[in-house]
Amino acid sequence: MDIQSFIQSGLLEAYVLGQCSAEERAQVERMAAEHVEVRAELNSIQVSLEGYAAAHAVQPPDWMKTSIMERLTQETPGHAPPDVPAPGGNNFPLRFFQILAFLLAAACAFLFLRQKEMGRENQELKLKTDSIQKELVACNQEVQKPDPIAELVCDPGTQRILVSDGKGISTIVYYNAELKRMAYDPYNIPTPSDGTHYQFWAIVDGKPVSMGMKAGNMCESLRNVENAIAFAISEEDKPEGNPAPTKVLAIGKTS
Amino acid sequence: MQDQQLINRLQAQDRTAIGNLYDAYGAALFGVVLRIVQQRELAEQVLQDTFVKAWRNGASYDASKGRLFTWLLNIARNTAIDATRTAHFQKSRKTDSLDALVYSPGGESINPDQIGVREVVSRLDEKYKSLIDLVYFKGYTQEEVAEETGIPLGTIKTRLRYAINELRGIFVEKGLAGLILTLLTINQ
Repeated sequence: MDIQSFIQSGLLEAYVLGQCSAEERAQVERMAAEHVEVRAELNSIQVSLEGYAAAHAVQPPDWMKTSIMERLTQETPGHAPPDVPAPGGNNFPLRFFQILAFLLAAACAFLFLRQKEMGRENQELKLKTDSIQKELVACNQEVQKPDPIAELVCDPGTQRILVSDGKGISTIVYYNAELKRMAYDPYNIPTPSDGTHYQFWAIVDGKPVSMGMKAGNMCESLRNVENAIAFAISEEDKPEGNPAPTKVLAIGKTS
Repeated sequence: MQDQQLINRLQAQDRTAIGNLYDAYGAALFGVVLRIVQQRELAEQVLQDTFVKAWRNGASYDASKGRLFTWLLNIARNTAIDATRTAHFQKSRKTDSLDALVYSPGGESINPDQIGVREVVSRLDEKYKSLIDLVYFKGYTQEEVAEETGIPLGTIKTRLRYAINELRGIFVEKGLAGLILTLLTINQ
């Protein structure tokens, strides 16, 4: 299975969100064990969602921690209540039927009441479904707005080119020769040490053309480019970059 | 940022490990749970259940399968989402706004650094927030979102990937990943 298609498949997000079937989980774990790109991507997704969760943090009330720790002491095995001793043997047959009759009566009463409850529940569930439906229509409208990056990524003619030095620097460049556009994901490129800056290049007609300094996010990386035969990352000494690459760190060729 | 000693203690069902996890992640988990159940008392119950489950299942946490905070988040989210599906919850649903719940007298004030982060996240493009909220807080699978909205599953998957990329952009660009992880670091 092609690694890039696997990473783009949405399965990794589903795995992180705990929404996979057992077979899908096994598949993700196998791919992660075999491919460092898959592991890196899984890690990135987790960190992003963790950050999103942390951004919504709310301090719980003061008593919460103590309450939790107390419940844990009750959880420890050995604190379970002792078994209740069995009733006397002489009255067994009578007792048995008395208890059985009582249970049957209780079951009947319960089922009758439950019947009524379920009628009400159904109504409420219908109301809830209707409101969810409305919410999804609103979301639908939001989600359908045009988007050049998603268009690029989704287009069947888009190539995914790995630009990597095989050590710490790697990114996927999305390049479409017909749309004449490229973008890349800057997150797997580590922050360079002080005084050095990463610059992106497309190789066009045998010459390097600057695609700008390393972008902050994928949106910022979007550039028009045509007839590229390769993409490269270089190390530069100036924050604004140089007209030609100084030290090329990684190259990826188009197909 | 994974603390191996803490993980070992969790896997050994050491109760003090749960105390450390609470200090580090309790507020973040509480925020997520509140957003899902939207009722203060129920959220408090769910938060306690979350940590009890984390303790009970500590031995089965496998660091090679995912990060610790993500593992806790999934326990919290699942417990919270299950709580919203009980008939009891449907009946007792109130119309409190989330802001009222968050700033109610029972809770402490929010760390101003966290407010700054929240503002940045709230500037995330609405279409991506909607999708993350549906999938993350409401527990819809990508397939369910596609079915309900009629948008092709492939587009939903691309959108979600892009939405998560946007989150990375916010944190990496503003140097907030370090800030958040620092906020959540155990201060002992």
